[in-house]
Amino acid sequence: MKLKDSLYKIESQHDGVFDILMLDGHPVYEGHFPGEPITPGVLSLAIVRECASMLADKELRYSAVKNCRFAAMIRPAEKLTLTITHTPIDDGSQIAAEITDREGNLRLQLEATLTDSLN
Amino acid sequence: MTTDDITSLIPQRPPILMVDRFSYEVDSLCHSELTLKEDNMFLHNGSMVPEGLLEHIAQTAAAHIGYRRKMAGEEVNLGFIGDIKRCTMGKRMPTVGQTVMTTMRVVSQVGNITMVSAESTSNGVTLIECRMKLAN
Repeated sequence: MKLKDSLYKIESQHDGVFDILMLDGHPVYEGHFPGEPITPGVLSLAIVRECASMLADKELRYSAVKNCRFAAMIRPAEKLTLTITHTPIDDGSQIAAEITDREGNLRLQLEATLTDSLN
Repeated sequence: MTTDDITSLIPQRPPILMVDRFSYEVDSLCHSELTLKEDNMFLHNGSMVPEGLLEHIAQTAAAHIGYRRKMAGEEVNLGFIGDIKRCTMGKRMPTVGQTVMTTMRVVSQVGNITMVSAESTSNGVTLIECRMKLAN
């Protein structure tokens, strides 16, 4: 599973702030939902994971989600800003992340732990 | 009630159909299963990323909501995750061919807001535990 450049594109990136464009045409939209494309909430979590892995410069996966609030839906072709604050821990990262639209409206708020000790 | 026709209860379709079987026990309890196939979109290096388990749990909750709506003579509608809380994932994630078995309890159901608590296991090993709030 790799979503960068198929589900979303990173237009710019600096200090944990990612300007993201949601792309049209990812196969997931055939099933979520037929005739009404809406980005599955869990794929927003996957986008945060992929970007957090870039920041940590290693492949991370979730080990705990303390709190994740889906404040509003995300749809293809939207322009969003993802802000990640990450603190390295023994076997991964602790992160706080927010996705907002370019007007600053909150879409997703997340506190989670990611690990680099994979299967 | 056990159904093999999960698509009569939830609006999700391939490639993001993440429940194979669903069984409704009572209003506050249900079970579901997913056998991981090679073409599952949440596979990464041969095992499932935890986001796939979260989607499986969300769709289990959606099936529970869909079942209740169907029994009430209402149409199945779109549902969305409102929040995820107190979620922990195990060290090992399921691999192709393994079956994920989920037990879900409905903590509260007020209007169109449903709160659930779920645990998924595979071969008796806990994969994920979490609380989720859904709106439909």
